[in-house]
Amino acid sequence: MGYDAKSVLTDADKLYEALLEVNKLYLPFGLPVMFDLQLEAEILGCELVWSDNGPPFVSSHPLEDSGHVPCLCTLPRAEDGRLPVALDVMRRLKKSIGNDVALYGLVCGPFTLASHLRGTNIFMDMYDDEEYVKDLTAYCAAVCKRMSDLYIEAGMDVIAVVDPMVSQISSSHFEEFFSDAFTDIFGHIRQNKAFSSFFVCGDATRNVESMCKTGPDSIAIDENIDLIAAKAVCDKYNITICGNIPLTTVMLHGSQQDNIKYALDLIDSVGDKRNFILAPGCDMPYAVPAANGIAIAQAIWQTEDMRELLKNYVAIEDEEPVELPDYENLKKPLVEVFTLDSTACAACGYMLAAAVDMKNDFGEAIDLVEYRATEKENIVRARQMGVAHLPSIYINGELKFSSLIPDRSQFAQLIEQTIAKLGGR
Amino acid sequence: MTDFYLITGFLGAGKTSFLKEFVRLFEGKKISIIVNEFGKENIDGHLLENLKAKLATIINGSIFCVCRLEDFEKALDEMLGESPDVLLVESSGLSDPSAINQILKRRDPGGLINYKGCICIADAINFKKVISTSVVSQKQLAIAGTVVINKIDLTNDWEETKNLIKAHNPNAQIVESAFGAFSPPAHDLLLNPGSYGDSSSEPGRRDLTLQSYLIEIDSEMSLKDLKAFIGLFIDRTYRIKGFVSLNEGNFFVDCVSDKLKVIPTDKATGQSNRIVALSGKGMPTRAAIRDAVKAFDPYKIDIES
Repeated sequence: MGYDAKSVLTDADKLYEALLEVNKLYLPFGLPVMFDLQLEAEILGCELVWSDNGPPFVSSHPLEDSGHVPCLCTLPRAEDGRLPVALDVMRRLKKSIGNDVALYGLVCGPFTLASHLRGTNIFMDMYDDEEYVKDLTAYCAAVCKRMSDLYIEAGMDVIAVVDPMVSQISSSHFEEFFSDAFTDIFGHIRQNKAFSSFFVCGDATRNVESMCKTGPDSIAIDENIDLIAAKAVCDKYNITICGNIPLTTVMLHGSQQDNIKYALDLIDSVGDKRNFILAPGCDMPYAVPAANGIAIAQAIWQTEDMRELLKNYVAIEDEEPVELPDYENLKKPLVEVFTLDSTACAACGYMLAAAVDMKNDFGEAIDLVEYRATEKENIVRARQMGVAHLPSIYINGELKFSSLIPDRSQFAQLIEQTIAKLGGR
Repeated sequence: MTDFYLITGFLGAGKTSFLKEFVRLFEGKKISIIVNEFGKENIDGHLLENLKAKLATIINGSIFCVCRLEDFEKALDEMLGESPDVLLVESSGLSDPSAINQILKRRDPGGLINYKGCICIADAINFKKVISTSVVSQKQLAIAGTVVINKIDLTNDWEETKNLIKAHNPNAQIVESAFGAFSPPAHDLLLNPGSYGDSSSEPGRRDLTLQSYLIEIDSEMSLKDLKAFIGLFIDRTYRIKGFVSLNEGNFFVDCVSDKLKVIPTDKATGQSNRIVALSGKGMPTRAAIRDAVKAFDPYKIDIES
């Protein structure tokens, strides 16, 4: 349609038009209206940096150095920020396609919102100032509930609480700091007679059961989590699992056949099909060819025809290897951050921010590079390196952090050790 | 018809001192005043009781903040019900007054209010710091028709402040003042201050960096310890205010920036013994107050934010 990401996230007419086109091309049973986890943060004073091909990212954190807990009188109102755009489109969609499609209102989860407001300091707070993390999380949960109310009133059938940061912490931290907030939010949504979903991305395998215990109606996961294993856990709690077509390797870079094959294989691998929603693992990258979305829709609507088409399908292995750095002979630490896309994925953004903090501290003493999986060459590089999960951080070719955002002191220590090791050269 | 004046200005700029002088210009008229304290204590209300004017105080919130709007509108209705000649509203230093036109339109369908305009008080010394760190101070300045540069007695150089004001609001008239007082030639300007654009068309955004803390002081504390206690976090605040009753007597705490002022007063504190600390961007106030409380254990000091 020729609209960039900023246009559809700020202009109600364009967003509405684009969503009607999506509905027409992909024939979904469910449709998220606005996938932008920065909408609340923008209202709450975070500065945003916009890009043409993805949602904006947060570039400043109002509570970064103050450690305040905001007053509840600051909760978003219908006329704030870009809420009028979102609510207008929701109402229009409800009227035009609401009888046929489940409409999803997406709210930024309490942990991700707390990270937007507090920055990477929130990770240190979990060790240094537990009470503050709990107080700030309670405030963020109140924001989630307010947003849910506004979206339900505008006709949303499902409220998805999207919290990618949940993949970045241990189960004990999740339960200590965030379980109560999520339980409160999902209870609130249920009380308001809407369905709820808990969206996470990244490798949150360890937290799936804890997530179930907070009582959402469904959980949505990406390719970092084994869907079959996660479904077994969700089934125990009668919670629907939603996922997890890979966003970049299949949807962005795969062929139509790759997408059909993936969708069919996934459907077939799920034994009991009840409580299963086939969906992209998370927000689809901007440049996903429309053909791939259509291919997935075809796999669902014309399953047997598609099986025939793929009978002799063999995945194309046409990749040229990339040249990796000479890790053994580096003169200084090389920090490599592998991400899905740090401008579009919050967890990746904070992983990169942790590395940028190090670059700011160590300056010329270290090198830093990010590889986004939106580039095919970077996927090849990640495969050669054996990168299992995104986001991950490597130092001089060695995996140091995988789907766990490091705290500042731990990261700095690793770099200092590497510098000391290289000292003799 | 009631002439309506809005007085704004950031914390510690001297709004109350100005109001005490300004109200004299309406001698002989029926005056009503609504004051607001963001910091949960009606401190300025105490001081204004000496003025011969009908006074309403909104406590525990920003006057235009959604959580106190109901209180403000109720006070406005009550005041207007008595048909005063003049109604003065002193907003809290932390409040965003952008919505004033909308509120007046909503509460005054009969057109009983003659909105004369908005006067913003700016502190000649601290203005530069405040305007760069606080979004609400920019909003306060933006809608003001007249700006009073206060405290010129404390500095010889307020040219930079003047230039900054012009940069943010090129059309505003500027009046210079010491201790909130002003010379007769400025009277006309202040009586007809005017106002600029209702910024309600701006996208609604919050300023979470502003925060207030209510600190309940142990009456067993010595004056020396009270000063030392406040000294531990004063540089992490814009303003600390409050009445405190100690064994050594009653005191008025009134600190702006890092200037500690604790002066004896004959005012009773009532039931409370609380001071309010107001802070903003780049000020790790919460941790500083908490550490100060720990340092002064076993005094019983409670914090509420």
